[in-house]
Amino acid sequence: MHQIEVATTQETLYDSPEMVLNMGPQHPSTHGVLRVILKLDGETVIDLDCDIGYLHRGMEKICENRLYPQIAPYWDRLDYIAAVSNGLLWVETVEQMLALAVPPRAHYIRTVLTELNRIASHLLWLATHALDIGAFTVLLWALREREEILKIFERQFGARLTCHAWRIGGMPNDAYEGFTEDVQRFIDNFPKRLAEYETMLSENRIWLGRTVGIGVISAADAVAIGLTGPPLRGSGVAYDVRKARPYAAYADMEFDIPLGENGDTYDRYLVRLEEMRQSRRIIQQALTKMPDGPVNAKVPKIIKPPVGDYYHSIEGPKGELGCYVVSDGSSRPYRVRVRPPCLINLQALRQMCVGHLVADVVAIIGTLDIVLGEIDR
Amino acid sequence: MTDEPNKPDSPDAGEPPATPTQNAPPAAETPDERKARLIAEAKTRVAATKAAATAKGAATPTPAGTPKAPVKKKEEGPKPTDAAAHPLVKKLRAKFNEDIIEASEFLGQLSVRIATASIGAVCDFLKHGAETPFDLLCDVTCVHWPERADTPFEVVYNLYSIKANARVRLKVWTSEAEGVESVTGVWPTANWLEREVYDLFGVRFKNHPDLRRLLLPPDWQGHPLRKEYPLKPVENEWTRKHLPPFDAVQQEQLEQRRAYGLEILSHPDERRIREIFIAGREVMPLDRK
Repeated sequence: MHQIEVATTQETLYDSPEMVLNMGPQHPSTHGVLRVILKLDGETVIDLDCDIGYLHRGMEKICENRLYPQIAPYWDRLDYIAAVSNGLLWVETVEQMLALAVPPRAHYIRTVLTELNRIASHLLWLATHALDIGAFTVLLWALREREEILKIFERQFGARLTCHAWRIGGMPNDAYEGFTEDVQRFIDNFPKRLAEYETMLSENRIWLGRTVGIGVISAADAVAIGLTGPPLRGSGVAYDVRKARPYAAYADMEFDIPLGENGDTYDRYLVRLEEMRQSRRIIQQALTKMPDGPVNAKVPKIIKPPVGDYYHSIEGPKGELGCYVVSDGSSRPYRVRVRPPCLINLQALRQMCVGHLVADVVAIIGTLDIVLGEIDR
Repeated sequence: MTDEPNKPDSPDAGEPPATPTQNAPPAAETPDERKARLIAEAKTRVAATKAAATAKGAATPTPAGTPKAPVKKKEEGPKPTDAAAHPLVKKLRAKFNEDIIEASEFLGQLSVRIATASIGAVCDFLKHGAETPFDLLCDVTCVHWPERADTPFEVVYNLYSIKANARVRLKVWTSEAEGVESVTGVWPTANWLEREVYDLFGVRFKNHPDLRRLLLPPDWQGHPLRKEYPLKPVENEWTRKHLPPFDAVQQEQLEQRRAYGLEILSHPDERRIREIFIAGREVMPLDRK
């Protein structure tokens, strides 16, 4: 039984060496409204329980009452750091159910922007993770680079965060004039910036002390608890949806899956840094190979997928983001299910924190890279 | 009022004498004959336009009819096909025989429906399969079919095998009273996922180590993802107990907002939405099609 009785706080506080500590929901290092109830022996975590749902909006219920194209913006508001990726999953799911032939140019532009979004998401992770551990400069530097990406989003979609980037069957607009130059300029500068972060952190004594050997999870445990994305690859399991089941234009791209060895916070940090480099590689290839042509398929006016159920997933910045749709043949889905990678990754928090100090809980929440908008839906 | 009906009358009365003089050729036509002739003319004209319209209509349906047929076909779309020949299904049938109720393939994805009692055994078998070990439990979710009275809940397990890059979907039909065996013993992932299904659908999982609500408050009543649950703010024990009362200033603010039609656009707290609901205003248009 993992439930920790908060009502008995006073009793445990005075009668035993154990103490119950509420962390959050308004705690800056829980990255949103996450409440972690910690049971402590001195400064060591004995047990913990997560209280989530503060941001529950009933998104899956709302989707049952919306037309297929109307649902797309709700997906942006799940993981609002990676709205472009989320939106891609929804439109791809519907496209595959309808068997629409999306033009290759749309696929390539989608790939470029989704990878840019991955970099933006990882940069925000790096910024906040470093801030949690005490490195303030990285926050400013990483947000500076993220700003460049958000500017590209703003020029392309007209919005910085909740972009509503795609439409079923393609894109609302072709890439704007100067898109290639903007992206090229960004990826030309980016390796230098990444190297700067590495000088700040990778061999930093404090950083190493706070991350190496913290929150270790073995490969077998990581698979059993259902981790996906960088936390899984940090433990050395090579599972990446982009490779395993390519979507958009990933089948044409060459890239490596960076893997960690020890499954600790430091390895996950290295994996994410390397992922940003690989994303840059993918963007470069997509820009060079970018085909011409239309960006929209011919889409029926009323979208009615065939009767049946379908599961599709993409490699979001946080992990495998999945979408399970049950269609009854009408213009609204019968059921929409989001497989939230953050929720399932957060479940590993207890396993990773027990035995560590309270200060490490902050580092481990940071390394899991959670977004509460997606956990609570 | 009395003038108006008279006005049309007077030109009518004036016309009949005027027109006969113009169409004089058939000499000495009585007004009755003339009227009969005009009616006959009108009839032929109408018949001609009708014939032309039907001829056109007959011409157009053939081009319109040919695209119509494929459109209808598209609406039908692909249908789930029987997947009894799938190697994995064969393997499962060999081991579990009649517990594998139905296997279907839709858009290249395999779904297997399993007898409720044997879900634990089937999952354990699939996880430790030699060639395709389904080691990653991607998702556990549920679909509510209220028209199936005995087994309204369909619990869906999405499994993935990292080694074989294969997916399979398991389905179990159950009811609120019956519940499902928990698979937390096979995959620890299932813990929170099953808690969420319990929270939002009210399906009980037997032998679950910690079956509590996950997203909603522990003392919430009802299960929102059931089909009969309304898509609007609800008023229940929980809201009465936990949400703060509405004071006079807030009430006035709300009324001002309402006067501007702003209550939906910017709501600082949930209470205000509830007020709108109590006042009988629809918050979300449910019937827009």
